[in-house]
Amino acid sequence: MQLDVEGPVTAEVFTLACRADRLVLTGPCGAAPWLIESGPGEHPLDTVRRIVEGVLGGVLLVHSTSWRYERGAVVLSFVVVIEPAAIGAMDAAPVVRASLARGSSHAAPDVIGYLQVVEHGVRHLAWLAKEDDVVCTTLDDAWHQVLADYVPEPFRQLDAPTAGDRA
Amino acid sequence: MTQWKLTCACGWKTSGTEQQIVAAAREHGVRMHNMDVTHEQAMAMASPIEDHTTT
Repeated sequence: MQLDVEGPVTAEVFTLACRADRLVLTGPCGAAPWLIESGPGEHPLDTVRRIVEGVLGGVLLVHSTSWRYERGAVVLSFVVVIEPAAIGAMDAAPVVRASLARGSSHAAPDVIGYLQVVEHGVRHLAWLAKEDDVVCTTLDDAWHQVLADYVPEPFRQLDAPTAGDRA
Repeated sequence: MTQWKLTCACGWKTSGTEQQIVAAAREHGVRMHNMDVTHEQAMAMASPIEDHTTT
């Protein structure tokens, strides 16, 4: 017997560009997350790529970087890298550093802010820039210089349980 | 005819007649969010624009 496993999935897109040697968050929603519904019958990555390329120009990379469960849905986070010239009239805000949201060894963090998702996404890019030939060659020197300040992180590191977790 | 305004969660805005804002919201939903927005969903997000003109 095969179980029909289904459920809502939301894609959350963070559009990044490297402008004047700084990372900026941009997109049709400005620095805010761009939410895209992912329905059955289409791979979430294909959905995001289709929508993003239909709206934005100069798309260089589309990569999923993390996931979480929020508001009754699985939220897949995507980092989209665009050429700085493609920002155009869209609002853009500098990417600010944030501490990562950490969970315990058996639980997700209680609260995850979107800047923490971005931080994790950029660290994931920093890891890909070193490990993945396509990402390495797609990103230019300015990107590599900026990413050098980020600790590469392929997966979220789980904290060991603390006394507080066990209480 | 009543004029309506509608603001999407992403900040996108539109205004016009009921027919116009529903059509615009549907186009925006598909293009930007991969969502099939129903008439009811669009109007649930809409509010009438107060008419301050006098006759």
